[in-house]
Amino acid sequence: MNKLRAKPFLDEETRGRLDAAMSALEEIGWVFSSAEIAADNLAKALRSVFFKGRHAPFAGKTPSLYDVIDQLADVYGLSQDAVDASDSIKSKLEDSYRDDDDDDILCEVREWAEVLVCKLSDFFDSCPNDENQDS
Amino acid sequence: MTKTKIAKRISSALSVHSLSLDKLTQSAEQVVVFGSWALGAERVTSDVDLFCVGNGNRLKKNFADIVWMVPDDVMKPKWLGSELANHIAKYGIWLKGKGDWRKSVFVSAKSVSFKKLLIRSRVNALEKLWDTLGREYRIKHVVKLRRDVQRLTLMLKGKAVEPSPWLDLRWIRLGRDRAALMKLLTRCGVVEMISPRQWRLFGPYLRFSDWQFTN
Repeated sequence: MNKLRAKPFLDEETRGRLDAAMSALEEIGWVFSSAEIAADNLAKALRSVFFKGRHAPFAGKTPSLYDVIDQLADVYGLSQDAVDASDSIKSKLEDSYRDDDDDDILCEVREWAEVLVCKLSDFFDSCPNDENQDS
Repeated sequence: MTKTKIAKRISSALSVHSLSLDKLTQSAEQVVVFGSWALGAERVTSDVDLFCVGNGNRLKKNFADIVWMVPDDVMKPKWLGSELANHIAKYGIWLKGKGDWRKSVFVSAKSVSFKKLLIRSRVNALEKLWDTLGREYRIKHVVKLRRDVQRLTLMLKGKAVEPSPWLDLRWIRLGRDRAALMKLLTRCGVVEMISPRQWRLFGPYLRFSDWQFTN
């Protein structure tokens, strides 16, 4: 197992951006196409904080939310529950694209999104929010 | 490419991941390959899309997407009228079985209205999150939006949706710009789906020839 990297400092503005992206995932209409965009929006927000720079993983690419979450788990020790939740969101959204009237699928996506947001919030809380604080 | 050659290539791609096409074929009444592998246009990163009729579990991994349907369901209107059934019926290659159901496919009103819903939702979500999405994701979703509009035009004519690489080629021939998309939307009678503000946002991204970000 790789040694985990120290979590970055999260100032109020950065945390606000991450919270807004998580809210969008929870609030956006539960149709495949809009949920897919909200998930990508959160992926983008996470990358801009945790995987910055030209040589960072995914540079110039458009990874799914699952790919970014999986990398966060590898590099910073984000919980496996978050990885499982994002994996479920990904596969359920793919199912909903093919099954046009299955409301149960979208209910499940909503539940997994709640789990993911909860786990990510815990993770952000564990990041230093004072520049002098150790993670 | 012949059916046997395609089967060999797929078998070899699946065996890398300890999956046997032979076993799959034994347990299914029908096995159909569709997507890039059926066109012979697969890339190293392309997953193998298979549609199987029989009793099995869905497998969705980076290397393969195997969809199962029980035999009774393939003759139901819900399936026969779907976008996927029409696509597979026209572009799929049967590795096993005959697929008599493919003669009965039709584009249902429900699948058309679902496609319209997908387009409207994508347009509205894109506008809402445009500022934070970043260039790469904007391109990805504008391309998806454009492909969905192209699919809708085909569905409204009662035709099967074409494979994505073909849609992209058509788009290049059309001129790749906002006017071309407007023409398609007008033809579908859904031009009001995109507001003037949304046109201003998305328009410049329709001209990008660099579609490496799309899935």
